[in-house]
Amino acid sequence: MAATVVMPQMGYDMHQGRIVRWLKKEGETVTRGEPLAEIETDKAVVEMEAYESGVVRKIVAQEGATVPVGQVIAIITGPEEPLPADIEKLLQAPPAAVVGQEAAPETPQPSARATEATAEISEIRATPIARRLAQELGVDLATVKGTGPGGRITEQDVRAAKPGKAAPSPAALPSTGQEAVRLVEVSRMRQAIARLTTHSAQTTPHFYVTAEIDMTQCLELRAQINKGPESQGVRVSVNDMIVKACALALGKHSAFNSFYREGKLQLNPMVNIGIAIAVEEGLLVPAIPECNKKSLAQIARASKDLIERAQKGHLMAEEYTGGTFSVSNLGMYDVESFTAIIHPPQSGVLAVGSIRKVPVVRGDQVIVSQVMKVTLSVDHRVADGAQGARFLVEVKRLLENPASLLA
Amino acid sequence: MAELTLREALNRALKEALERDPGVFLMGEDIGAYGGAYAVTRGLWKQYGPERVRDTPISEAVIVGAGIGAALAGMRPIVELMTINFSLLAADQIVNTAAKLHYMSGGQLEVPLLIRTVTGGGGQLGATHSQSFEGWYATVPGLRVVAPATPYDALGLFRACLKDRNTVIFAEHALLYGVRGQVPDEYYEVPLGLAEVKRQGSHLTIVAYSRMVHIALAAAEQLARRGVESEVIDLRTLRPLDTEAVVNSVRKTHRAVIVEEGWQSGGIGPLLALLIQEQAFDHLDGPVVRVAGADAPAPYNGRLERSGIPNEDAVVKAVESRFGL
Repeated sequence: MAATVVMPQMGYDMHQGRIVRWLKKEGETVTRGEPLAEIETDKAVVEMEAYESGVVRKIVAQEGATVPVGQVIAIITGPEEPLPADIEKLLQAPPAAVVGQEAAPETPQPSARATEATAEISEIRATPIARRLAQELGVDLATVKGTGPGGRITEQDVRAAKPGKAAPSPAALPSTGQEAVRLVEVSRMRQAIARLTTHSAQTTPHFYVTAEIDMTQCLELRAQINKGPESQGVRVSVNDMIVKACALALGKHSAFNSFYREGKLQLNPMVNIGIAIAVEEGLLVPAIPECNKKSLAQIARASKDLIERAQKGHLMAEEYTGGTFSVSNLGMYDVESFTAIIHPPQSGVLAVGSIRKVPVVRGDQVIVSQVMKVTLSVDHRVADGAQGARFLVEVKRLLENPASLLA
Repeated sequence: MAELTLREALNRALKEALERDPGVFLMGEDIGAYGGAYAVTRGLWKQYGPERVRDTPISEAVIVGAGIGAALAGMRPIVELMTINFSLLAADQIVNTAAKLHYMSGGQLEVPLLIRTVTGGGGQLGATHSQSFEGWYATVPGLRVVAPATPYDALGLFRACLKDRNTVIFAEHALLYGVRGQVPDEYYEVPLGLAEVKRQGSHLTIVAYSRMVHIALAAAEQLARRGVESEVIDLRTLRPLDTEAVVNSVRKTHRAVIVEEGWQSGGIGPLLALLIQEQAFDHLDGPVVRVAGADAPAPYNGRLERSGIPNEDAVVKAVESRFGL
């Protein structure tokens, strides 16, 4: 019954994970459901559970190793069972054939991207300073011949291999004026954001629709709710009302709650709205699940909880991968409007600007209104301008007649 | 300035201590009429008398225990353990009493006891008389451990130890008593916890103490002949340890070799290697290399014994094989 444990896919955009710590040693017994290892993804450190009971017979990927999704990282056997004779075959088995891969709920596996990162596991022998320098100087260690003991790449080898060569000092990067240009490390989250947004911008044809929404009534209602017993102790934010309005609008305009997949449209039954949260290392977009079934107060409570846990780094993988539509709000920064990049595989994102007091002509009167500009980014493969406009007008209608949000 | 042997420098240190402080007295086996097994106390008994230069029975526990008592009572005892091998008989007094009383009395008590002792092998004295335990004592919080390599440092460190209010293990290498060096006539001190760069270099750092400093310097000389410049750091004090000096040097040279005479599996080297890799990891251009004594009881046979003690060739060979230099 030997079973392989593979690097699980804990999110749509996860291509590889790092083994932070094995929680079971070789030879230790493990029960299905027990934590087996700590895995670091681009966004969090997550405990991986065992999918089989038995004995951890062999740990294939050591602590600290970065391993592509689907690759075997350990082998579990029965209590008295030795390592299977065909272990080599097991280790080489393609990801699809292995046991224990987590099927991420509601976020179908990406097609080919999971296997791309295989080449990143390094077999290069280089000293710590050589590795650091290579990164600073932009030298690919794979192209450097090591002259140290056992072919180890040393500091000298990297300097010799540097394009332009003969660099006596480590800071010999091109300079602008007097200040030397520096290369600094970025967080894994920053790298993930870079990868994801580049992928989205390059593969998703975006178009944008902007509308102005009069928020005067919304603000009044919000003040009332927060004073009254309906809020049940949770303060409702403007963003919560926007999320609720989007959820209602998405119910009618299901294209914006769908994923474009190779010529087909995957219609998602649940409306899970991601909210963009700025955290110290970058940006997270965890989703409030089933917004179409939640009251405003429930959305407010869920949103508050997500924000708190995002800032502490306590989100679960499925929370920041399960979104079907997103709202990105920069209202608190006094910006008029902006456009957002769609979070694949979603088809739309609403970028929300500040609420400003502006003179508005109503009838023949000029009155002061509280107006907010929102910009919808749409995946053109999924919908066209007219559909986008209709969706946005629906959101506008709901927010300008906010009693409907209390339904 | 005068050229003194390390023995003479220590003799001067002891004389000076007896002269300056009436609370100072010496205790040990054969240190009086005989002048000391290694002749460090020669002449002092005659000059200062048996009250202040006291011969003791052969009982290390008594020597250290009495020293602790005297120190607690306000005296400034300097005791001699004939060799560090015999300190094991006083280990409980040293580790469980001298090193602890200040802490366990909540700071009410102090044990300013200076324990001079002789360390090291290479003299064909057999397995039980050729050991280097200063590395052990350096792992005990509450102690100071000092191990000079030159007459200048011996005198300067000794003076600093006398001013310190902790128990000090002052480890003198048996084969260094005859080493000569310039010593100033005027008063100076070498502070505890301060390493010294004994030779500047840019390609690698060799860290050593006591007799191994001389081995490191000889190896550096050999390496320099082919253009490899070694920085030699003399720790001088094992506790407190001057990590900063070592790490700064390794950050500059990117390579570290730790040389010590004690057994491979112990000593100060493993701690130092840990600290280097913790604090200078991204600067390392090779593994932290250690050259240490063979993991075996010292053989009596002279040639065999020497083969187990690091020499300059062993250091040079390690540099060649581990760094490819």
